[in-house]
Amino acid sequence: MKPNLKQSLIEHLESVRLDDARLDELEALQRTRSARSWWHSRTLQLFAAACLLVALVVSWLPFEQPDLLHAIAEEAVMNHLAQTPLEVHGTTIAELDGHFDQLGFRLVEPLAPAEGARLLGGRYCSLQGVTAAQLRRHDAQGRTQNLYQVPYRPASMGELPDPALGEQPRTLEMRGLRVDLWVERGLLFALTRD
Amino acid sequence: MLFDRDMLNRLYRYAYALSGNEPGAGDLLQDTVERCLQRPPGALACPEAYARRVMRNRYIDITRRRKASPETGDAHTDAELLAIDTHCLESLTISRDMLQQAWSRLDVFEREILYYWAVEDMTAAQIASTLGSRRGTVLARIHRLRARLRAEFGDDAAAEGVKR
Repeated sequence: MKPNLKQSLIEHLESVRLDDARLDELEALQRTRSARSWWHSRTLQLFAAACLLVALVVSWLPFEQPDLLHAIAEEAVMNHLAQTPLEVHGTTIAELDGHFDQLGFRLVEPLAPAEGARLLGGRYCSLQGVTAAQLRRHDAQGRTQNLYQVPYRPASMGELPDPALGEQPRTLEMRGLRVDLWVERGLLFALTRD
Repeated sequence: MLFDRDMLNRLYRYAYALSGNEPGAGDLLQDTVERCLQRPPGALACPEAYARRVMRNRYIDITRRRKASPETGDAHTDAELLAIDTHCLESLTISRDMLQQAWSRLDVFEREILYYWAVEDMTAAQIASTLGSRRGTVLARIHRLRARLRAEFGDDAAAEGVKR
């Protein structure tokens, strides 16, 4: 008498077995791959998380991405040290403004008072390829200061303090000089001093 | 270790039920084990059940549901379906040799039904639930499978009657 379908099925399926060699291979695969695969995927996850964290930090701390800003400050310091002769002389911004007709903006009187400082004149200069105004003055002790004005690009320069909002300028030290950086009315100001 | 030797053999049988042949089952098992090993250690509460699901999805991906879509069943009325369940398979008799001949000619859904019915002792409702299918679809396939076995093997696969 023939076995019933279920019995035949069970016998048939039970006869389907992996041989010992194949079982050994699969066990070896599990031993070697379980740790490695997990470590690999965990490493990728950690790497992705680290990249995300860096991106967040960078986006949250715009002051920490001032490559262009540093370059501008460095160039301002170099101009300061070069002491290139002035193109125009005057003691007020209004006097000088007429000379700077190639800037694409009007010179701005800084909000912060330069106590005891005396304006000497100005010249065109270039900061990172952008035409800028370099205004030279002496402070109360006769030390030279250079005030630079250039169009402000927040996307590349990052957020900068605005004295109109009660913020203090950002200060960098370069080549032994102090550079103050801030924004006023759409212009980036850089002040170098001896 | 995620899968011991007994588990590997059970998974191999399920892979055989899906693929219908041993070389295909071996490949499917290897692929499944590798995919399961991608999970962190301890992340799987029931590795064998997870592996079966992975294996089935993988098989479906591979074959792209070309012929054996589990959802394509015959239309049967409720009255007809009431008369069908896995018990109507109980009465069939077939020799192991004949079954072996028939096995590869069954479609994947039929092999899965037979696997769960014979090995896991599941009812049609349980099989439907496991396969994510409708009970009516499973019943319709059981009905067709029974008729097919009887037609193919004549009196050999015939029965002493359907036990209700």
